[in-house]
Amino acid sequence: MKRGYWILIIVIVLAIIIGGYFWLSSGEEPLFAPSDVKVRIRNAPPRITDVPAVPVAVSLTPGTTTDVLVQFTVRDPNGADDLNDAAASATFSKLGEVDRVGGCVINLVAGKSKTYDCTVSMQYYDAAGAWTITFYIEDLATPTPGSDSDNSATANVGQLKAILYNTNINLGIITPSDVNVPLADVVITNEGNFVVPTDGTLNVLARNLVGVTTPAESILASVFLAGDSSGDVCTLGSALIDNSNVNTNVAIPRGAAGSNVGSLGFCISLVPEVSAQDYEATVAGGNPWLIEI
Amino acid sequence: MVNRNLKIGLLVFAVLLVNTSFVFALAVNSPYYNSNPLKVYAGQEKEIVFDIYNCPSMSDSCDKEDIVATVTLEEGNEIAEITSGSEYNLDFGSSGKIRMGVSIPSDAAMNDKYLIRMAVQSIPEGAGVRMGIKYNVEFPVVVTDAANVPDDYVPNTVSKGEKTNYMLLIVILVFVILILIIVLAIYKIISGKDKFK
Repeated sequence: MKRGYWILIIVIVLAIIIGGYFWLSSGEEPLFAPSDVKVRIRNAPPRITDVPAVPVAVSLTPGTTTDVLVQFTVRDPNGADDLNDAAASATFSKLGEVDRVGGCVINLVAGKSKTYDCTVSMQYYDAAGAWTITFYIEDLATPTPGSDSDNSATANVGQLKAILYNTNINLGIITPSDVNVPLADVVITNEGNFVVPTDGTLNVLARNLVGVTTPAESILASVFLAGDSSGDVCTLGSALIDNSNVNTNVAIPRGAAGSNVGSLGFCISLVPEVSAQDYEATVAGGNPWLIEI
Repeated sequence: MVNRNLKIGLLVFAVLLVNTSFVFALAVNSPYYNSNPLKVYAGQEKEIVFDIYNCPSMSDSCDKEDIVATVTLEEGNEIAEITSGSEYNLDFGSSGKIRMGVSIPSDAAMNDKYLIRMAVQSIPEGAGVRMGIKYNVEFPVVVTDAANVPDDYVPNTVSKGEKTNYMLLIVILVFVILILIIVLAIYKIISGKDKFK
């Protein structure tokens, strides 16, 4: 292109710009007239930028609470000082379960971001499985604080098998030929989240009781019945089998203290006519009984 | 006959008097269970940790006794082994860790399934009729694509990614193009001047 054309283009553009300026500046309400300008910057809400990317593994503790530590990071365009630390929280939730909410403390401040450590207290009876973690933060804006929440992280709660019971079966005073002799119940307290029978059964592996003085004599495991003591074990109980697992149909719920108790009942269907001596099922004798879940 | 029966009754009663009650508090936690299988990929090697406890709450409902627990792998020997030993001495209120190594054959096919069953057992000493506990820790192992195998949690966080401000990007782009045009125009003018010289 010739130089003359370029000069012409520049002259035209300049003429348009200068002409436009004067045109916009003229009139009763010129656009370019000096005026007072007020700029009000609105509060920019905080934004959660980092949460656990893989499921948080939770191993519950029998009979007590477990503190679970989770982290998240927030950025506030108005600066990290604009974040309301007291409002930071993490909530673990699962359908049918009570939400577990934990507060947070500052772990790190970097520029306009803060990383929080949140401690959520889980109960020993909280259900196994995937829980949703919801992180929440607010800023200090008034009257309406800006906020953000994120529920993309999960926690995987493990399965806790934990039962408390008295290990000694009380045979009481038994007399040969007696029938349907109920024994004292074995009270079982669930200090975990495993539910019987929803998650699995409670079996009893019995073994023949052996005479201490005369080992040739024994009380067969098959004379014992076992079952949930909410019913008549002597009628409804399952007959035990030597060295085999038998489902007792016992129910053991999970829950807070007082609501987490089951009861295993025993009954001797017929006391055999054996000699008067001690009959045992022990580790030393190689024939202890087992509760299996 | 009456005397004989009485003798049995008295003897059994006497045994009950010397037997001591013992409230057992062994517990085990498993990250995997029947409805939560372990997902692995062919050739993967992985360590699984199970927590084992003896009344960590130290509540009065437990007897203050130490426990010896034995651990055996009842099923899944072809892919798993217990690496932390078979016997665990748990003082009252303490806990331990059972470590299991899982090694999946490199030629395992997609959707291949294995079953791992580990027994955690303890039986208290003593006379009378003793009833121990046996926890069956059982879970399936499913071979899947490596992309479907979740990472183990480490207490770090990963950025979800900043939201991009596309409007700002467009303004910057237009601004850069304008500058380029101006620079090009100036260059042309200057080069035109040089030709006249």
